[in-house]
Amino acid sequence: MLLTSSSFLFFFLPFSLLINYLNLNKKRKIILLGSFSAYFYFLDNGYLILILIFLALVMNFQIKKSYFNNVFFIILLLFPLFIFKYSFLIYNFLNIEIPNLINANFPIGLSFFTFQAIAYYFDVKRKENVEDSFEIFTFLTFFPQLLAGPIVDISTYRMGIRNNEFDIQNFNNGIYRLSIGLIKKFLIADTLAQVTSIYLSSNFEISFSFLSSFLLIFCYTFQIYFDFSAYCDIAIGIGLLFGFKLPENFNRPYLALSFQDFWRRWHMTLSNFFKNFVYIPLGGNRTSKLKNYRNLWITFFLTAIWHGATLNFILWGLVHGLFLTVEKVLGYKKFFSNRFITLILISLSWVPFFSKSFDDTLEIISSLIVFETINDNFLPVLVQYLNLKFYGVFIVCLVSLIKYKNPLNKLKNNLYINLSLLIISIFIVLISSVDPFIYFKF
Amino acid sequence: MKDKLFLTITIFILSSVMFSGIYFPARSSYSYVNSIEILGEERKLVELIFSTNRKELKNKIDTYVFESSLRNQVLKEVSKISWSLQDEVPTDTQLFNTEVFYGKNGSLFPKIKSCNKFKSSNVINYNSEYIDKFIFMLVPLKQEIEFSNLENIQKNYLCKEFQESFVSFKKNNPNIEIINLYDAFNLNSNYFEFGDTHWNNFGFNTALLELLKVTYPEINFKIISDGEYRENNKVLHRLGLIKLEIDSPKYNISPKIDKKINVLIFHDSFFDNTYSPHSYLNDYFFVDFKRWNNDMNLNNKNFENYDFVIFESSIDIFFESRIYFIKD
Repeated sequence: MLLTSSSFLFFFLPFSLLINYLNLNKKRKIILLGSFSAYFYFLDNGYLILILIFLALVMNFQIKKSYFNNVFFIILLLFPLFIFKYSFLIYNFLNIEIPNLINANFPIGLSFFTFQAIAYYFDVKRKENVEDSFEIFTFLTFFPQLLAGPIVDISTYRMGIRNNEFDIQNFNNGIYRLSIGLIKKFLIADTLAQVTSIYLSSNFEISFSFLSSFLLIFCYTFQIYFDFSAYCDIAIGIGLLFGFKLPENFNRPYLALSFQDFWRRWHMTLSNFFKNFVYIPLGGNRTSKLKNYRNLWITFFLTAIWHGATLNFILWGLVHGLFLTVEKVLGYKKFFSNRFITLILISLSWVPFFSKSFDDTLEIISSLIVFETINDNFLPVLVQYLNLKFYGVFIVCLVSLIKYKNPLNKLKNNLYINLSLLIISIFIVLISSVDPFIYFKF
Repeated sequence: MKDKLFLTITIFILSSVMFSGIYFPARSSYSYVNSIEILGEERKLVELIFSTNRKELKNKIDTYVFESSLRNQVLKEVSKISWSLQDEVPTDTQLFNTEVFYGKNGSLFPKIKSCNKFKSSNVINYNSEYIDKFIFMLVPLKQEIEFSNLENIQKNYLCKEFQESFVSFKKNNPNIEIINLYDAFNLNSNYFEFGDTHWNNFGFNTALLELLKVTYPEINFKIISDGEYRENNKVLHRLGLIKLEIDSPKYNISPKIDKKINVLIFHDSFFDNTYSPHSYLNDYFFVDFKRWNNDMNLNNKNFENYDFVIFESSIDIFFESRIYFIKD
């Protein structure tokens, strides 16, 4: 169930909020949230909830009995992810028909809750305590961040579970983040999505010129940011309503001065995960320069593969690995410390990320030097979507690139303003259609 | 106390849309974006929570929200605001994500899904014993005919591929009668309704005149003025939620026919009764109507019963998909 769907916002959320504030003790809160979340997942994914139960049982078993060594255990945790996300490569290689269970199903958020499980295991191992058997299950299934993160550590989660007193400040902030997230998603991301979906849903041959290529790249660059950060705002907002302070995932990434800076601001919990579980165990930057570059490339290769086992994602990962290496070799503060250049390069790097094939990637990028629009058959379709709402969103996107202190920050503690924002966001939800979040497919 | 009040208000605001759908459903709900599947079951929400069919609960809630008077009222108010800006701003002001866009002063145009030239290599060499009975009528898009009602940017990047595809299609099928409405819609006049993507009465009569020229070549037909009629503007009402009342000139074709022939028309919405009154068509033909489907067999024995078989389609959809439905 989408966090922006009618069934979630207007039924599931108010109902579960009501139950949550019955002054439940910690144990009951864990069971209640776990059950709610499992039901939430079941409604969309049906019997695929067995994967979550499998992961919770295996983890409970391993944490209590330490039956497997760490490497084997991690492989076991990654097994469902491999089956549903990567096994098609083997079937294709062997020229065997992919079983319907794998071909027709994908458990939404599988990558996220698998990583969550790995993070939980090492956290608990380090702290050597597990408070409740059901805790693992609730931790994995907790509905605000189940589908696309942010990836949470155990202390954040436990703090939320203990927090069973109604906190007006948290609640107020929660309403603010939820409303802002809904507005970002429905007003900004989905307006930009109208342009990108022309390309993504087209079965016809498309040719571009500079203008259409630029607009497509611009729209996707901001759509993916506003879409994913809106999801995170909604997840963080709902988390706050339930007393959980989920970590931030974005810090105005398009203001980054370099690729290194970008990865400190973009999808921060995933970056931290790869840093803690791949980059640092490989030796991080406390090795020779060559090994450091190798570690970087391996980390970005895995980040790319995490998004999907396609040539395009690998290309995207390699581009980021390449620019990070170049920055390190040349000293990024000297040569790359420029917001504008970084933004352009980051925008171009999204092309392999969203394009449907390698040929399309080349076509879109090479069209940036074609200024004649005669052969452009994308522009006549695109022009239909250039309306007042689009122009407004275009300006918002440009304004988001200006370094300023958010004027709304002063207002966000005001109860009445937040309630008004909530009403406005509900109105926006009611007049909009729902496009799934981009990151759900990962 | 204030804290709990805030919590209660929030829960009330969030659930008000649901309650509005349960206790105050709208009499006629709008569907400008999605069609909703209504299951037609009578069970209550509580019963559905424990239903083994997990989709039932979601569908029921979606139906409540979709039909809530609150949602409908919000839609109407928002559309009124955006429509009031339409005359002031030289761009499409609609806030909904619909299948149409607005040109000058809110004149409504259909959105196309792609702008690809139909490849002549794809032209099907139709082989049918009834080939002499076939008439193709491909209706141009409103923006191709009434481009003066487009805003400048829309005009500058207008898709020209459909007309080129039409020319190619006509050239590659010399043994089939293909009516050229690009040539017929040539006067400096409106052929389409202002708030609709379909033809107006003049457009309909112009197309009919072309059809009559082919079916009754011996008769000299002409269009004559016949008072006024109220435009349908249904698409604007359905997608833009605006009810627009415009009176336009009405026309008639003279002379009427005494000895009528039998025709079968495969059609889309252009030949729906709203835009092409069937009783009026009966003055010229004995007509049977059939909608396009994805299996149009050109050797259908049923064609023997007709003097002509007419294939009418909006040009964009014809080249996108319908052309591939035709099999011989």
